[in-house]
Amino acid sequence: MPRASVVLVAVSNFRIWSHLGWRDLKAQYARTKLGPWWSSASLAAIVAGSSIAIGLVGNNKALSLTPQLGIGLAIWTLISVSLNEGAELFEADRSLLLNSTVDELSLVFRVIWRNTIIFLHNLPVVALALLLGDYKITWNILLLIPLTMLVPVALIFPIALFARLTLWRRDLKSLLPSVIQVGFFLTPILWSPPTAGPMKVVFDINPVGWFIVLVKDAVIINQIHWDLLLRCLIVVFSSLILIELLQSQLRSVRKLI
Amino acid sequence: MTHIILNDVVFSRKLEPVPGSQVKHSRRVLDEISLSILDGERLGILGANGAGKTTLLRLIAGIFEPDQGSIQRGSDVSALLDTGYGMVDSLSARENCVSKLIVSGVPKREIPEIIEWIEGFVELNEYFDQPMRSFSNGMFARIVFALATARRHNVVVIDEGFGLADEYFQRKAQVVLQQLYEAASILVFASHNADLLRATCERGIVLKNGKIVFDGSIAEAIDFNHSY
Repeated sequence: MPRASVVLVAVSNFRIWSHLGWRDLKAQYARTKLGPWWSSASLAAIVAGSSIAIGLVGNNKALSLTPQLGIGLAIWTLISVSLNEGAELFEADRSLLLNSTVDELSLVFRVIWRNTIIFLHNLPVVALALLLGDYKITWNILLLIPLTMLVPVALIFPIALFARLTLWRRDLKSLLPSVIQVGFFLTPILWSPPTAGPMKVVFDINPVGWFIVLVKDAVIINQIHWDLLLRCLIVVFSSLILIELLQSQLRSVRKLI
Repeated sequence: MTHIILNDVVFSRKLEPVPGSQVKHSRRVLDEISLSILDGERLGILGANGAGKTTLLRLIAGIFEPDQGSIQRGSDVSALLDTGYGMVDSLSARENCVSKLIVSGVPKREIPEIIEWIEGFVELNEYFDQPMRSFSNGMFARIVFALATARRHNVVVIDEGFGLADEYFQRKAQVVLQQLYEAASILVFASHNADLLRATCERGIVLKNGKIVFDGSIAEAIDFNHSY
């Protein structure tokens, strides 16, 4: 009998992973007054602090940088937190995996879903950052959400991969946060990609940067980079194909936990 | 018709290398298990710790997939295996119960009625809406037991390690278990408790090092397990 697509099985379990994602946030922010809005407050503080610091160091008008920092940091938070949390997900869900038949990919979707909810909570901060940076509203602002929503799909494969690798080699759990930290400086959040030089090469091989620049430039300077959109779509479809291959070729993580 | 059939099932686990050694070993937890459990059967599983009882239950429940061989399940399976049961201790018992029912695929419209039954059965009053981190082991066990037995299934798989609470609740739980056994078409029960097995099952198998070394009546299986 042909094996069902693991992605379609996980999509059909929407009720389970969407519920688990909300439950995680409820548990994480239990007994707090702001709940997930704490993430927004944290992002607002980082955007404000970074804008002022970069503005003062570069002798620029501090608030001029807030639009690109707001969008860049909101997307970076979605990616970095998803990867960090995803690396531990099978270990964290040991009891659930050993007591239910829920599919593994639904647990990956759950991590992405809860961080997407956090991203949506961060949108008011992004809006504030745009307004403070003298951003002139155009129809392109409507592209913010659809373009950013390519990111969660692209994250499916790397999260599932890191989650498996962490089970295999625990060292990765300690290593990954440092790698992600370095990735922050190699991603055009605090800088814009140059047209030549070593940082151009860094940009060209860093898919995270493609997504961030695609969204930032579409919204802030009304320029859609079709070449970047194409690269991002290739990443998204590759993620879906690779996850099918990974899940169908490798044995169940239930044997490894 | 309800049935469970295992054909030459093999399930292995990789062992962590001994400190100082790079050699990784793999161990067959279950080794070419063939077993048919038919409608109406109450099967007891005996064997020493590490014999493969819980792994066999997880395979029957569909939680593990076999490395080799096949398993046919003619019906839905309810498994009562682990007292942890995927609970989140910062959430209330009510929230955990709702969550567990959703993960188990229970339709939304049926959940309020089941929650009402659980709330009445566990008799924890206002604690039912308190975070489970404040619960004693006994209170925790009440919730897990009620949650696992709230619905009737055709196939019920129970591990004895699935603990119960105080004596009062144990007596209450026995009544529910009896109803569960009676409603189920197939019961598979792993235990070290000979009296409990005799009272619950008619057929028994004995596992040793991942193999079935005896299959017969429960009384004979218990005797065999003692003498083996």
